[in-house]
Amino acid sequence: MLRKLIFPSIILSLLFSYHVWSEEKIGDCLSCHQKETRGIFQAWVNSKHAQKGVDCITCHKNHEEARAKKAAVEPQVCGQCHQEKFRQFLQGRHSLSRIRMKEHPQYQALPDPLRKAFCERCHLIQDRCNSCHTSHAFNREEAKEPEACKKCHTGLAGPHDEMYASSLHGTIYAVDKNAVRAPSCASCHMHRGTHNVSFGVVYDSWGNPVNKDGKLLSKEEQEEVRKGMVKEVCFQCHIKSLTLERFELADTVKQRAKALLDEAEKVIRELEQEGILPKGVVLGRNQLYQGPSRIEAIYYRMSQFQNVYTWKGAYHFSADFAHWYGWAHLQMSLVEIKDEARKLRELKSKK
Amino acid sequence: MTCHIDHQAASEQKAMVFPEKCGECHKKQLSEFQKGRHSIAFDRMRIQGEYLAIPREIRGAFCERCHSIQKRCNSCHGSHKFSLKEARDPDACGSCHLGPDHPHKEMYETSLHGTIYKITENPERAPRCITCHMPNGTHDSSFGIARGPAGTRPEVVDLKEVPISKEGEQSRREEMLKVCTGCHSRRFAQEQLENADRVKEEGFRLMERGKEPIKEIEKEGLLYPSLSARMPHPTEGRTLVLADPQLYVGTSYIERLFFTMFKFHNIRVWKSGYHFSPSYTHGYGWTEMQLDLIDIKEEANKLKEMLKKMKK
Repeated sequence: MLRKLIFPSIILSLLFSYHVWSEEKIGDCLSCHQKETRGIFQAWVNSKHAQKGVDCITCHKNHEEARAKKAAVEPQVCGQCHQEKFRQFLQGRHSLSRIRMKEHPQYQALPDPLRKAFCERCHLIQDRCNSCHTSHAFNREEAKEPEACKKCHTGLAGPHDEMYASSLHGTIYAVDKNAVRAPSCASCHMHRGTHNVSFGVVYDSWGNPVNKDGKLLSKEEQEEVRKGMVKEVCFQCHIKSLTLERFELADTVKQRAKALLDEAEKVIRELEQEGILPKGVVLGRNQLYQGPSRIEAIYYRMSQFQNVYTWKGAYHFSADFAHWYGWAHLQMSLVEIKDEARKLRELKSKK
Repeated sequence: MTCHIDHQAASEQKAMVFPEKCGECHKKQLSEFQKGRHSIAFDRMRIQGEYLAIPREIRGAFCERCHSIQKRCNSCHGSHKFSLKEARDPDACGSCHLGPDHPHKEMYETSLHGTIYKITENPERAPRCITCHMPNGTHDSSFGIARGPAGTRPEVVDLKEVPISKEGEQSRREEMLKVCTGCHSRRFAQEQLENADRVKEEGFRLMERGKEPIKEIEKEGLLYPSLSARMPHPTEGRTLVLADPQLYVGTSYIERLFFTMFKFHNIRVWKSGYHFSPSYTHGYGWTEMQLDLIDIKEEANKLKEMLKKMKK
């Protein structure tokens, strides 16, 4: 009789000891971290994770491993529980950000401490779920607000926050934080909480109609992508025909802005032909800001900043960005480029 | 009566009440205040070349509005409410610590600290300015500032403008790390601050490169207006002044290009390194500095070309 009980009791005691063992391990963590990193503990203990029994060990495994990774927890680990979100995340551009960063010649041209302080602070979102709902509170409410996006999507190269804030969507949201009244970033770009941030986005940051992997989209495919955004999001508030008109207007703005860029490029290429600029000038996507000449630097501003403000400003419905920071500056830069070309030609001719 | 004494006295002082008066009751705060840079803000302003180069009548609308903190406790907790809640809010600091020459407010607001604080308004979740810079309510605003430049000096100096020792730097850095480790692991905080140290060094190195073409131009006598033809610098006289205390008035164009580079853009690189705003340290800071450098070199080339032509 007793023998029949031995095996199950062994199993039971193992189970119990595992349970006790796990608690002891947490106690190990807390015995230091409750005091040493009080803020982390506070954030975790008040979080949903703590309520649901997700603790240090669940994500960090053990002290050695955590140390080796400098406490980083990869999205795959989060994805073990948050499977759907992880799968969605992999469909969007955020899941490529580190790879794209490393390919970029500007990143390669920077010394290591600068890479850490500059590019990596934002582009490592590929490796970090806590970019938006930050550790250790992992608070959804925090992540939903425009400020969560703002830390990266701001500033010279991509002032989405500023564009949004100077649009009617953003100004109404600022006053009345009600996503039924006016959209936040997440309303349009993470509709229904999808973690595929490329949802509804037709163009990459260079304005090319490509999918996340860089494959060119056909006209029909582009329309499909756009419809996703327009149907699911915009039509909730806006009249169909007017919405489509607005997007088409933004398309036109984008094309016209590109035409200005092309005009500016033409001027520079002509100087290259005439031998006034050395051959092999890099313009646009792979251009560095450590360029050799002023005329290239003016073009850098046009393509990296002013053109971006114009067309992205148009799609975010910020007249201020689309016009003043964008178009007007594109035009002024074009004036400068033409004038610079004239000066360079004069200097060359009188030698 | 407690503060203004009587109408006569108040009238004479234009209703100003100096920190020493507040210190009669708030002794601890006053003594802490006197250890920090806020307590010399006005004196330091008065000897700055840029300040002296501004017409006297309008200085009150410019520098003095912020630098008068030396003489006014109500800069942060505004009279007459003297509300602690108001003083603790980042906007209290943000009314002076903002703008192209020192965009602390903007850097903070585009950092993770600032964005989380904005959403949660919970200082246990994310720090606000005073969390790091006035921990436990210390009024010593120089707390934890370990690395220079500070103000206009390349190294951190004490209030008598004597550079602090290496040990002094270490102990200040330790003080700040104690704040960071309230939330972060020590390793993390130390790495971040040390990386910021390196970012700062790179920024200054780049800035130095901006000076070279200008010095060459000056040697060839190509600065227009020349140093002898322009008003002498209020504190430096007839020398080429690049970086602090460079003026933005009366200089040549190439010097003006450098002014933007050092005064607005370099500041962002290094201060935003320490405030962890990638957008300000990179896009608004380093990128702009690189573009400035191009402009400076081009201008120098043009001036040299023009000289060649004139010689023909």
